[in-house]
Amino acid sequence: MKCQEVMELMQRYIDGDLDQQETSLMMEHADRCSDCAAMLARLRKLSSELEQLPRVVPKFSIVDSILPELERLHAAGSTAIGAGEAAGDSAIASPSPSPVRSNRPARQQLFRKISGVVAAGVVVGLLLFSNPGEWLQRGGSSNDAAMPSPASAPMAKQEASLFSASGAGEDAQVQDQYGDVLRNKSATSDSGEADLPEGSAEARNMMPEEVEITQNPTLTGGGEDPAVSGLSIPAETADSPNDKWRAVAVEGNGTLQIYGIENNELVYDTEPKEGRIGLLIWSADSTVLNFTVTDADGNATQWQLDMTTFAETKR
Amino acid sequence: MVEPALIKAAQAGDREALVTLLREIENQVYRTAYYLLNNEQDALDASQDALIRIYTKIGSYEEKAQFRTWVQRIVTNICIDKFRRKKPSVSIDEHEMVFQAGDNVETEVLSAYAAEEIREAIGKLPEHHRTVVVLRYLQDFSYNEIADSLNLPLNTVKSYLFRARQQLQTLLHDYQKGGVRG
Repeated sequence: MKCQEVMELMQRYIDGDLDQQETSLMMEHADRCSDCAAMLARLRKLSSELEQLPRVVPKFSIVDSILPELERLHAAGSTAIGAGEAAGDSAIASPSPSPVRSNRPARQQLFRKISGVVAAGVVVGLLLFSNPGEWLQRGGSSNDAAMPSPASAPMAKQEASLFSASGAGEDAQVQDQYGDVLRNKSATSDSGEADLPEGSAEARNMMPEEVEITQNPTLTGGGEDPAVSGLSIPAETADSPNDKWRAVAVEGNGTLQIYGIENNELVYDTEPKEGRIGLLIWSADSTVLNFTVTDADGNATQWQLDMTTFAETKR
Repeated sequence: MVEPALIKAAQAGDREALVTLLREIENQVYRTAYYLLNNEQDALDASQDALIRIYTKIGSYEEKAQFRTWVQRIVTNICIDKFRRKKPSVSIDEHEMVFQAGDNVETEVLSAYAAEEIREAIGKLPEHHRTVVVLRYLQDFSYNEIADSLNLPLNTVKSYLFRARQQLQTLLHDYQKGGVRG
């Protein structure tokens, strides 16, 4: 047994992770190898010292120190909740209940508590829908801004007629349609995909406003922007000759990830490297992966990852 | 351990329960921050940030995760952000660290490493190694709990922990030898 393998056993021994057979294997080696025996003694000493590190406590109550801030957050949260509730109530009182609210009331409330900003967004949304007149005005202007084409004027007119129609007693139909739009809106912001119902001319007319309204949550949500997620698309992959592992150089965070090909499970994630990882080359026996890290100045460093110990070393 | 009932009450909007919960975890949050940042003031700042984040995010905690690993994920993320901003490029070259340790040699002969020296040595580790060591020894986390907290594969956790101990051992061993020589 090689000393390097024994090192791993010793490390696991320290954590109480060895079975009896492994323990005796390790001890047998340590009996014969004085270097490993010395290392084992040092590791045990280190580990017991780490266990005895003082359990430091803060010199004052941190919770007390943040109580004013928590109070402020709470106040901001409840104001937003109050406003949200008011808007929500008016939406319910009006013949157009908000499906977002009725679908997931608990989560909706939570959202408001979590962030005044989000709450404000919801309030704005509800107000827009509970006050179609104002919404229409805004919609008209954002239409102009969003698509400065001659089409915007007739479109606004179409919407105007749509709303006058709703005023004329076709409430039920319009409500459904609102419902559709609202549900659709939440789907849009959840998945980041715009999939509007087909065949509904009215719904399509509302598209510019839809985009306008959902844009903010999408932007603040982050990570949903396809351009952003595109950055983490792997730059280079290499499968091991025994078809067991797939090495993937992850652009962006500068790490190299090893996946099991069979189950697609992440086996190992290297430490972040200062630069771009490339030139992934497996050894013929699949035990070592060689790769190159090129930093911003173009300096290349050769690295190797040992697949038995997961040790990363510079060559 | 924080009572599940207390967590539930806090999640349901019971503000008093939430503050009680924060008081219960305050020390464990501070301990991690202190050993990760190696500085009392930074640790207090990071703990405040972490507790405020826990206060606002308590609703997003799901029972399928352990509460304490969820808490440690929040505090370690805040600390990692903090020391990345402080030291834009952390060297992960082991040899350089050993060399630095050799430079700091004191003349006293040391039979056991004082806690202070161990803390300094931990501070010299790359951020991931440091985090794994702190969770293992200051929070008594298992490999799995560390993996959950840091969202890392189990093998990576083991590898970081093993290398961290090897580095600490080298740092402290050299320190001691240096002391004898000096």
